[in-house]
Amino acid sequence: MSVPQPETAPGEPWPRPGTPGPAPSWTRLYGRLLTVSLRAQWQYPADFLIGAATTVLLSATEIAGFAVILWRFHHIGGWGPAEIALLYGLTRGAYAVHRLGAGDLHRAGAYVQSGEYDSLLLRPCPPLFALLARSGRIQQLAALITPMTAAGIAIAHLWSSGVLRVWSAACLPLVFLCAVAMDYAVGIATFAFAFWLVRVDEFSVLTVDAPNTAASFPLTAYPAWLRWYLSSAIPVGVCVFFPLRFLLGRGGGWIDLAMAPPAAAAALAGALWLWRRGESRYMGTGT
Amino acid sequence: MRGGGSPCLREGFALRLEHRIRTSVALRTGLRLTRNGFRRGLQYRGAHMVNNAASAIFGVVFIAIWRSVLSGSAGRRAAAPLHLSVAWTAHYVVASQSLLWITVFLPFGLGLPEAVRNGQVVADLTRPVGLWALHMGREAGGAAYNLVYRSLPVAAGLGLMVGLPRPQTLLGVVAALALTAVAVWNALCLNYLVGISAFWTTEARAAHNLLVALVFALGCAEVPLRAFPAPLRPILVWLPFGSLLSTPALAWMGSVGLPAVVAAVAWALTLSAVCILATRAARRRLAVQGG
Repeated sequence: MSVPQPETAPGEPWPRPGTPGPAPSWTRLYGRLLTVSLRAQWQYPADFLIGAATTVLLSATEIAGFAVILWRFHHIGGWGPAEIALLYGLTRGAYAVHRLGAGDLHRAGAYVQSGEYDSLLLRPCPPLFALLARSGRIQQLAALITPMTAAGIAIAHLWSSGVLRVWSAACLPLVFLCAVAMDYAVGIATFAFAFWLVRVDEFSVLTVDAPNTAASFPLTAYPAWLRWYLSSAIPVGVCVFFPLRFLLGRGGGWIDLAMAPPAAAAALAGALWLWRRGESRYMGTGT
Repeated sequence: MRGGGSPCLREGFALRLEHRIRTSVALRTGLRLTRNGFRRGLQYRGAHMVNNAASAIFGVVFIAIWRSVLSGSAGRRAAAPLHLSVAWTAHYVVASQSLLWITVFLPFGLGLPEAVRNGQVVADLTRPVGLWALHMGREAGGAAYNLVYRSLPVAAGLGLMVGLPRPQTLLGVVAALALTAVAVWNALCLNYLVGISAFWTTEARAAHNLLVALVFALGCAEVPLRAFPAPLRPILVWLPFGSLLSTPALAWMGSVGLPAVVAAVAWALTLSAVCILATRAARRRLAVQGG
């Protein structure tokens, strides 16, 4: 089945011929749909609070193991506790933002398998957009708590010790945005394979979960093939580790920082292209 | 003499015979459930092999982290009193990463919360095999599948890089196998208790997440017991979570202590008793709302 693409004119993201008034922008629309889905989940506050508490506990236990290592040995891959906390905070924080805003992207396989993706094709907006704006995971707000706390404490420590300067601290939001964009790119590219493989949950552990965990620590600690994997095949390390290495004076050059935005943009463009290719193969289930 | 013996003896013989038949039927049913649980996993072998690669990456990350902290002279000095070395920690990571698939990554509540939600549990309770035996048998098969198609490939992959942990004596091998079996039993019991909590609460998922978090943090998934602060170690040994990961991993390394063995066996008995009591309570709790 070929995919009917909505006929949108430039600047008119919501194509409703004859609808009076200005068309809402994609960003506003995305924000509104996401807010609606988050508010829907907030209808069960006890569910949210219990889920949030366990989410925080899970990420805290993840840190606890490495805290024991740092308490004993004071470094990992030559990086001190504060530097690792910042690397961890930015990497895991960006991933939590991606999971918060990626809606049902990670359930793309289920949509394809059940044929529910048909319903997205009928909407007056690109199906990927509809998928992303659906069922935002409110519990990911809690998943932000631990990484952001770690990053905040690390920034304060690195600032007071003179490692972070005004210009390098000012670059951190850019690094974070690039990391979020890269996580979106990797997520979209991974789940685009659902159009070929249908079930991609196990595959996503290889391309999304494992690289994100690995990129939370200095790549210098890893063997060469894993460094290549995290900087070329699944380039999550390009947007946090390399820029941060330069900003913290741990080596590298300004090019490490400068290449993060184009790398994230290129990855995002490639992921969108892959998604469209996959979508053109979608056959539906005939139900 | 017709009939042989008094009526009391005949009754005793009949009861023993019935007990034997029941035991035989229960064993055969248990084995059949285990076999079916194993076969269920076979449907997704290809996908699981991809996941094994990811699991190996997690293992490589932890091995590399330990190597980086222990390779310098300062790291070696700090590790010396703890008897930690690059090779030892690498073997520990291989063992613990392989054990994860049979003791931690089990189905949410052994499938009980879903059965409670959709009403399947009513049919399960009317079966000739008990609810506990049904779920334990089925998921033991799942664990057996995970052992063959997940744990062993992960161990083989990581073993190619850093070598495999091996007990030095035959007794050590037997102990490692027995403690691995105890670890699986304890893991199944703990997950069963998470599952059966669905009779009382709709938040069984939170209990599952809590269990996973506790096993990772207190079961010494990434950090060996001897690296923890000294006052914490005895506490961790006697908690049930260590019996899932730390104890069998150390057994495969040939360096498990007697208190950890005693704790693992004690928890197996305790958890079994708690599972039986919880099943009885759940049976009384069940209310069928009509059909």
